[in-house]
Order: sequence, then structure tokens, then C-alpha cells
Amino acid sequence: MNKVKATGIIFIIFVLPFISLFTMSLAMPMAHAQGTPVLDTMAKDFFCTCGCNYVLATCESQMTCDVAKSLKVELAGYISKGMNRDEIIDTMTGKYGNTMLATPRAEGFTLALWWYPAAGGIVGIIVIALVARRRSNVNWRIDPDEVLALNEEELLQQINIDKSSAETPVTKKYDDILKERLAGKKYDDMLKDKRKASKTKSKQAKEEE
Amino acid sequence: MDIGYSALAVALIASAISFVSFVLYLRKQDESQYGFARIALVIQTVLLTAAISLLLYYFLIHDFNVEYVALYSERSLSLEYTISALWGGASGSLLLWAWLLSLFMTAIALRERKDRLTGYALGILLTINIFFLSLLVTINNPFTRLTFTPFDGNGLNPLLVNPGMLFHPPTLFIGYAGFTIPFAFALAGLLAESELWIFRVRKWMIFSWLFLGFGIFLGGWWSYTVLGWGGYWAWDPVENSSLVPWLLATALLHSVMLQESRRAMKLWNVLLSIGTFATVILATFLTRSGLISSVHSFGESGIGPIFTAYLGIILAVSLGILAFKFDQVKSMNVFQSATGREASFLFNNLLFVVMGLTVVWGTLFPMINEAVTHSKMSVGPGFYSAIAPWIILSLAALMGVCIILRWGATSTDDLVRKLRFPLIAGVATLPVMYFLGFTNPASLTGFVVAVFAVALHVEDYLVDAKDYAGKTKVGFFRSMGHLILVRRRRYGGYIVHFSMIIIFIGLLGTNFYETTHSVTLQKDTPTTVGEYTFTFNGMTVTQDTTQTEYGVNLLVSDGSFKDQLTAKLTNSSKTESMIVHVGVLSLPFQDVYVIPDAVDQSSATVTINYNPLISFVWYGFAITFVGVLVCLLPRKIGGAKLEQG
Repeated sequence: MNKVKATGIIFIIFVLPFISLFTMSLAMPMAHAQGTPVLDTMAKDFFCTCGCNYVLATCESQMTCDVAKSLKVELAGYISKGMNRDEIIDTMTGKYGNTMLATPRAEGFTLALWWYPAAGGIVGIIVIALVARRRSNVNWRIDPDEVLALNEEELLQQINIDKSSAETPVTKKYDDILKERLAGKKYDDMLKDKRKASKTKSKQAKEEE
Repeated sequence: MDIGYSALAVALIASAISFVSFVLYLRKQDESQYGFARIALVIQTVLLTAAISLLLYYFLIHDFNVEYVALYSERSLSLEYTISALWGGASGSLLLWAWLLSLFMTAIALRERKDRLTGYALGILLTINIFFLSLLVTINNPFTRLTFTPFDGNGLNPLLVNPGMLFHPPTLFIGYAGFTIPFAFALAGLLAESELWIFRVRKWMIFSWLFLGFGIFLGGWWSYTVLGWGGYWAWDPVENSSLVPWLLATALLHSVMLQESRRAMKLWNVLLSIGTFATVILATFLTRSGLISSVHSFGESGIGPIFTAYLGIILAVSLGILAFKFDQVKSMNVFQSATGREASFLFNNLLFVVMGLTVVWGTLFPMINEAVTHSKMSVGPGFYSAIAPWIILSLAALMGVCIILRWGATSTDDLVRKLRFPLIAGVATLPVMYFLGFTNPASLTGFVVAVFAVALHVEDYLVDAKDYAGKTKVGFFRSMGHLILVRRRRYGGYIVHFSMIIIFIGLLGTNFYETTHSVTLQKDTPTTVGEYTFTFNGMTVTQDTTQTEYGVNLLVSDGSFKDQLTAKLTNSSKTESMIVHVGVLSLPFQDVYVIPDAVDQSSATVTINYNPLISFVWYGFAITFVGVLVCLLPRKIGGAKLEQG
């Protein structure tokens, strides 16, 4: 039951920001438009046709581009006529071609562009759910922090032990290593001790066999 | 034949000999072959060092008989840009890449254990360098000589003549070259049937991750301070292509921990290693092919199709090896609970990979669309700006929550106890930020998540330090320092997390609160624009043989302070284009960013941007650097400190 509750808490922590963000972004225009006129926002919707590959807003400021300037004047004209965003996009792409539209509309084959991230996310979540269902009670081989305290031979030894054993033994906790260090034992001596101990263990196992 | 070309040709032969020797070592278990292979490898590196030094020398003495030198430098170019012209074109970049890869290989050969795993890895790395060297001695020879010697060279593209050019490409290339190592070790692990690859590759991976990240950061800084369009990231295809390997490598850095400690995600780690390297090659292809419109079109060359074929070969061979050795990547079932830290690693990987694949998809979609519908289209910043905030916000929240989760499973009591204070801190942020003027609801959500995540890290650190102090009796404050050294991997990671949250706050500020004002300023007439008053103090004109520079001198004041700011317009006589040099006044919480549009003696027309919290982006990257250094600290340093304690 505790695990269910804990899962619930995590779910809330993850989902809460999304719900709030989503609700608020529906209620209000997106933030980069805040305090700026519509022209500035629309200047980010179209690439400049001068060949620079920047959107109008960027091209105009970086290159002091005359093409970008005149296109912005044209946009301002459409806005002052009272045309809405879709009408302006239709007019501009009709005149200059689809390649100038920086934010493609979700229609026809372009739907694949917009749905891909969501599809990827959904597939990923299904995979995670499937992986996470394969529960197990396997012990830790080692804490990732502790890996730093070991050298390759020890790791190899550990891996070999893992392979030969159904129950994965947990290695010495870092706290224990710490205590031994503080007790004045040199790190290399500790490694030697560990190696000796594992050799004795394997000898004993052989003898038992 | 130029001596540099000869060096490249012999380096290619040395690489081939080294490769064959490694193969013989692996087949016959002949130790002497390993030694021979290592010598050939070092010879290859020495020759490549000689070749790149020689090319640099040709640049420095203005030997315009060398075609590459004539194409990318000129006499009037200053020393630092003459040096940077080395990587101004495709041939120089390839040579730089091959040289860096040879340095990495030599370091691995000298530092890593002499065994089959390293043997396989070096063999694979050699095949990559043989590919680069083959290009250099055939179609991309940087030492090609002209039949005549021009008096002066063509010069660098004016956009490349700035400090960003000095460091941005080399750091990116270090990252790119470095990401061949996880790829090579992953395949080597399969071939040698050794799990140790995951441990051995870690330091190389972190190092490469840092440099690629640093290269991306320098690109952003260059864009912001020099290119002058007011931003640091334009979602341009070439920018995107450098981001993708970094995203996949970040996922890999996390998922390797589960293989190290729990024998999980083995297949996934190999796939991520292959994916990271494949996207590095894809990035090179996109930069050089010219197939996709990009602001980096100065990097175009004819090697795009070759890189496409190479990408295909890499994917086919590596996935073939994976299929052949599939029994090596069977993982244990280790997930005990959805509330375990392992689960958070899965979500982390999901987010990074979805982000990476989305960027690849958006970048390649114009090509795919044209192939399917036979019509042209573009995918600009709007697409990425609609997707990225969700993923970044999720990652920020996950960064916080993951550290309070225990390996295995976490109990409700534990969660409630650890979440209490961070949640209060997060919620308390809301009114504070609101009264500071950050009123946009979406950004406020971001600030709450950011503070929540930071508070979780701080809380975990303090609790850990208290625990450590109790065990070691070294005192709380000393244990705070010791702990970072003792558990440097964890705390290095936490520092990087913290830096990412700082960057996230910077992103919130610049994306939600940037304001733009276009204004014409009359000479000596103070004009208030938003929060500050600007006075145009006149125009300065500086002229030399290649360009005329018009300086727009402004006095910025707000009653409590005054500061000078100069923005420039440069007219290049060679390209007959006007280049903008922005003026930036960096204040602690905001940049005043001035883009000159037009200027004469009596007036200046400028665009003034206020960029709040932009400095957080730069500080964040600096902190990332510290975090990675902590992760990479040699073990001895921690041990020594502890013994003193």
C-alpha cells in the first residue's frame, strides 16, 4: 500500500507542473508574445527570403537585411488591414512559397512532424511500463558511488562472482571502506585484504565441492 | 608532393599496420603484436601532429601556394584568426578531427589495461581514423598546391573572424572525436565478451560530454555576443546536429549506472553508444552536405555523400555485431518498484532520447517531406519551441525528484519527509517571483520547479553531510567538503544538475521576458527606452584597407548608474556586406543588448533588447565545468583528504 501511495505522490509531482502549465498556456497567449506587438511574433514565423536561413526578426537585426525589412513592412500592412494569422500565412506562402514558413502547419504529411514527439513519448512510456513490470528482487551488485572506490580487478572479480552465483552478493558498503581508511588502513592494503578474502572464499568453495 | 601530404600518407599506412597488428593480437593472443600495434599507433599520432603543425606553419608564413591556405586566410588576418583558419574549411576540420582521434587513441593505448577489450576498442577506433585519413589523402588533401602563388589569400568569411571561431570548433571536435570512444568500447565489449567496457569508458565519456557541451555553449555565446540577433540558439540544422549527440550521451551517462550496479540496460547502453556516434557522423554530414539549408553554410563541401555512405556502413556493421552477440546484452530484471531510483533513470532516458530524436526528426523532415510530397518546406524555431519546453520542464522536475528516490523502492514516509521542505520552498517562490515582476504563469511554473529541484539537492546534501559528520567526527562544515571528495561521482553529478537548473532559470528569463524596442536616437538627446535612458554620443569611423567600422557610442543610465556602450557596423570591402557588432551591457540580472541598424553623425537607429536572467545561462555552464571536474577528480585526492580527516 505504501508503494502505491508513494507512486501516487511521484505521479502528482510529475504531472502537476504539466497540468498547470497546460491550463495556463491555454488561458493566456504564450509567453514570448508577452509585451511585444503581433508583428514581432509574426516575424518569427517566416524565414527571410534573402537566403540567410534566419527568421525575419533575426535576419533583420543580424544582417541589417533590406529584404527582411521590406517583408516586415508587408507583414505590418497585412496586420493593419485586420487580417488574422492564418490569412497572413496563406497570403505570404502563396506569394513566396512554403519554404518561408518557419513553423509548419499541422496538416497533411506535416502532421507526421508534429505527432512524432508525442508518438515517441507514448511508445517510450509503453516500453518503460513493460520493462518495469518485470519486477525482481535482485540485490545490488554495487552502489554506483562505490564503483569509484574499486579497481578493475575487483570489478572483474565481482562480475565473475555475479555470473557464478544466483544470489548477487552485495559488496562492502562505502561506509565500511571509509571506516577502514579512517582507522589508518591504506587503500592498497584494503584491496589486498579484499582479494585475499575472496581467494580464501573460492578455495573454501572448491574444497567443499 | 608536399611533405605534409607524405606525412598523411605514411600516417595512413601506420594506421593500417597498427590495425592489422591488433587483429593478429586478438586472433593469436600474441602479446608482441600488441606492442607492435601500439608503436605503429604512436607513429601515426606523431605523423599527424607533424602534418597539422606543418599546415599551421603554412598559414603563419602565408604560403598561398597551398590551396587551403589561400582559400581560408589572407595577409591582413591577425595571428589568432590565422591560426583559427586552420579549421575554417572541410580539409582542415577533417585533419583536426583525425589528429584529435589519434591523440585519444594514444592516450587509451598508454593508459588503459593491455587486454583484448582495449585491443578491440583500439582496432575499431583505427578503422575510423583510417576512414578520415583516406579522405585526407584522396579528395580532401589540405596540402594540395596551386600551379601559381597568389599574392594574397581569399580570407576567412567575416562571420568567422571573431573570438568564437578560436574555441568553438576545436571544442566541438574534441567532443565529436571523444564520442568515438564509447562506440568503440561498446562494440569491443560485445566482441571481447567483457562487461568491463562500461567502467573503462566512463572517464572518456564524461570528458567528451564536457567538451561537446562546452563547444555548444561557446557556439551559443558566439551567436549572442557576436552574430547579434539577440539570441543564443536559433534551432538551425547544424546547431541541432551538434545537440543530438550531446543529448544521447547525457542519456548514456545516466543509464550506464544501472549496468554498472545492476547489470540492467545492457542492450540499451550499446544502442545509445552506437546512436551517439552515428549522430556525430550525421552532424558532420549535415554541416558539410549543403542538403539542408543552414546558417552554417560556410562549412559546405562535397564530402556529404561519402559521410552518408559511411553512416550506413557504421549502422549496418555495429547493429550486425550486436545481433551476432545478442546473448551478451541480455539484462537482469532489476526493477523492484515504480518508486525506485531505477525508474527515474528510465524516465530520464526517455526524455533525453525523445528530445534527441525529435530534433533529428525536425532537422531531417524537410528532406523527408520533399521525398514524399515533392514539395519544399522548412522547419524553423517554432516547431522546437513548441516541443522543447515540455521536455525541459519535465527534466527539471525529474532532476529534483530522482535524488530522493531510493534504489529499489521508496516508502511513502520517506517521500513525504524529504518532499516537505522543498515543496514549501518551491511554492514560496511563486509570490516572490510574482512581486519581482515575473508574472507569466508558465514561467512561474518553471521557477517553482527550479527552486523545488534545487531545494531537494541542497536538502539531500545537508542530510548526507550531517550523517557523514556523525560517522567520521570531522565536524559538519569539514564533512561538507569531504563528502564531495568521497562521493565525487554523486556530488559531481549534483553540481551538474544544479548548473542545469541555473541554465533553466536563464532560459525562462530570456524566453519569457525578453523585450525589444526599435528606436532612433538623436545626438546628445537623452531618450528613455523601457527602464533605461540612452544618449547617443556620436559616431566614430575607423577605416583600414579591408573594412570601414562605424561605432555607435551610447551612454546608458537609469538614475543610479551610468555606463558607456558601443555597438558597431562594419562594412567589409571584400564581401560588400554590412556586419553587425552588438553592444552588450551586462548587469547582474539583465543584459542591455543594443543592435545598430543605421547610424550617421546626427542620429542612430538601434534595436534595444532587454534580456533578463541571460547571465544565468553563462554561469550555469561555468558550474557544469566544476561539476564535471569533481566527477573526474583522481581517486587519490579523495583518499588523501580522508586520511587527513
